[in-house]
Amino acid sequence: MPADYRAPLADMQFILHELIPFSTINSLPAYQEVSDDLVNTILEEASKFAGEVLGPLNWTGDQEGCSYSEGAVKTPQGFKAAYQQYIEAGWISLAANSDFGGQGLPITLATPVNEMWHSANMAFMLCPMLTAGAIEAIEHHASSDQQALYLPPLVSGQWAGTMNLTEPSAGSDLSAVSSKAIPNGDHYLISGTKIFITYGEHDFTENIIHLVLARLPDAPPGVKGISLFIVPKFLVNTDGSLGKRNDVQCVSIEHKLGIHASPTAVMSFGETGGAIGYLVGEANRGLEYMFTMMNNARLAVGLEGVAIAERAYQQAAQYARERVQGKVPQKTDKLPILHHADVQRMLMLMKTQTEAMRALAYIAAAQSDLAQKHPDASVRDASQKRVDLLTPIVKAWSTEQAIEIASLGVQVHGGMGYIEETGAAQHLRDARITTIYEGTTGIQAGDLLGRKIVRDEGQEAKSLF
Amino acid sequence: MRGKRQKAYFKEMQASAIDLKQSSSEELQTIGHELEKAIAALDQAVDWLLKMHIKNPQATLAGAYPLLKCFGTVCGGWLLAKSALIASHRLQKNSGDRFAQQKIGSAIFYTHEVLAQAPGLVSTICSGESVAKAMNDSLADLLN
Repeated sequence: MPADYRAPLADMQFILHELIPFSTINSLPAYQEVSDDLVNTILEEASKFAGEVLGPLNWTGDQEGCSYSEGAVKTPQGFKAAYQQYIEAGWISLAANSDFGGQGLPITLATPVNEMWHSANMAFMLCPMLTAGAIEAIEHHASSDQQALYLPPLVSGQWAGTMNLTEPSAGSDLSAVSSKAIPNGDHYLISGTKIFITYGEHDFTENIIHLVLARLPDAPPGVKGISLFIVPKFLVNTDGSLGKRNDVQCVSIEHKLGIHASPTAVMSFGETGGAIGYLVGEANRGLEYMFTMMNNARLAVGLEGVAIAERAYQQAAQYARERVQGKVPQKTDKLPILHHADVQRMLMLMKTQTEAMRALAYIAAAQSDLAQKHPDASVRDASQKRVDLLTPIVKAWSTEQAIEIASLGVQVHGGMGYIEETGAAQHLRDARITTIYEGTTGIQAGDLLGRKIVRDEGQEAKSLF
Repeated sequence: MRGKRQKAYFKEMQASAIDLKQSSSEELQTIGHELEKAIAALDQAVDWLLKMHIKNPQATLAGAYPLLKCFGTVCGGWLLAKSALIASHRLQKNSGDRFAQQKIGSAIFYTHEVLAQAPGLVSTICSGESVAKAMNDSLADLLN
């Protein structure tokens, strides 16, 4: 049986309170009420929920996977109930804006909490993660009427959100997006096919708010002609109640290497005349709007890397303590493999690199809080530059290392690691997507070199080292 | 002018390396020295990339991932080194602090096993012209 998940609270608290330290965050006017005691209470409560509710569903969810029938997707047993518990406990709205029902807590605190969810059950956590992206896009770029209508139920988790960017011919290169948006009175009619849509369809919530990239008829070619639309699964009446079913369908879900409990949908818009969509912000600025959201999504995926590495380490460490095999120099008895130098080397590579990745991800989160909430504009600006520099590193370095770490986790198990029942292989399969989605490693490396180093002649990079 | 402006910035990693080198513990001094070497290597890679990116963009792009990996590796080494320094202060107050002992162990291990790879990655990056040409030559059948 796979090992239980236990949140690494000591390391999390060390990084928060001593390395960052958190006093730089709760000395900000916006966060003065966030005491160290409150931080520790939240971390302890989250660790219980992660360990007791989400963690045990990780393996069963992987084995059962999602099922598709006539446009509907059923998530694995226990997932819907866990989602209900998750939103009722208020976990989903931790860092969301209090104007829309969120708790307005710092990103620096939400980051270790999110790490726990990803460690406990990465496939489950993808739903709240994508919803957070939709919330961010609407909060920054939609009209106040759109915000009032869509944000409160998204923030509370009553509805979920998705990001519809990729098309069969538009992957890393979004200039090739070809979905259409035709003006039609106060809204647009959207048509086209979107692929790889995480939680594009599921049974967690009564409504799903799709954010969709599409082109207006007169749009210029390339990235400067892409607009962003809100396309609800069920149309929303002005009083917030649900109206008729929109012309958007999940036509299939993918069979994937990992994250089996997370439905990856092929979405078809406008098969019977056009899906009703509402323009977000100005026309032709969709990609720019997506990027404000995507930078945080990249940090979130980097954190997934930390999380899956931690889980793989815990799995390997438990096995190494239990498995008795072979003799160790200068000892007569057979001992658990933990005593072999090479097993220790592998466990230490897993442990120390995870600690290093965690520290960097939390430092980037703290800089994000400073960039948003520091009263001094020059500090906000300097912090944002630091976040911009660190984002591709947190994203690509943490996820590339996570794959190596999960692979070492399999290696520690020997032949048993190659057998699914042990649980080590799932982490390697799940980790494998993290270097691909939200911008591949190649995209991140090009971003670091071109936009973050060459563009300012290395100034920000050199200010760090 | 550019040099002057750069000096106005606070070099955080360098500052940590200096703190570690001034520690009374030989182990922490070693971490400080190794961190300093890794920072110097990363600095060399960035200078090379800045110099080369207009002349031969393919050569610098070939090194984009090695650069990212090197940058991550050095950031990780820096933060574990800083952690070790904090842990050493905790041990001065309580010599039985097991978490602090483990943190120092983590930092020493990472320094020798992981951070030590940084200069190798820099060598890869700075060989970018040769690497780019070799890729072109060896993949010629595919490229044409």
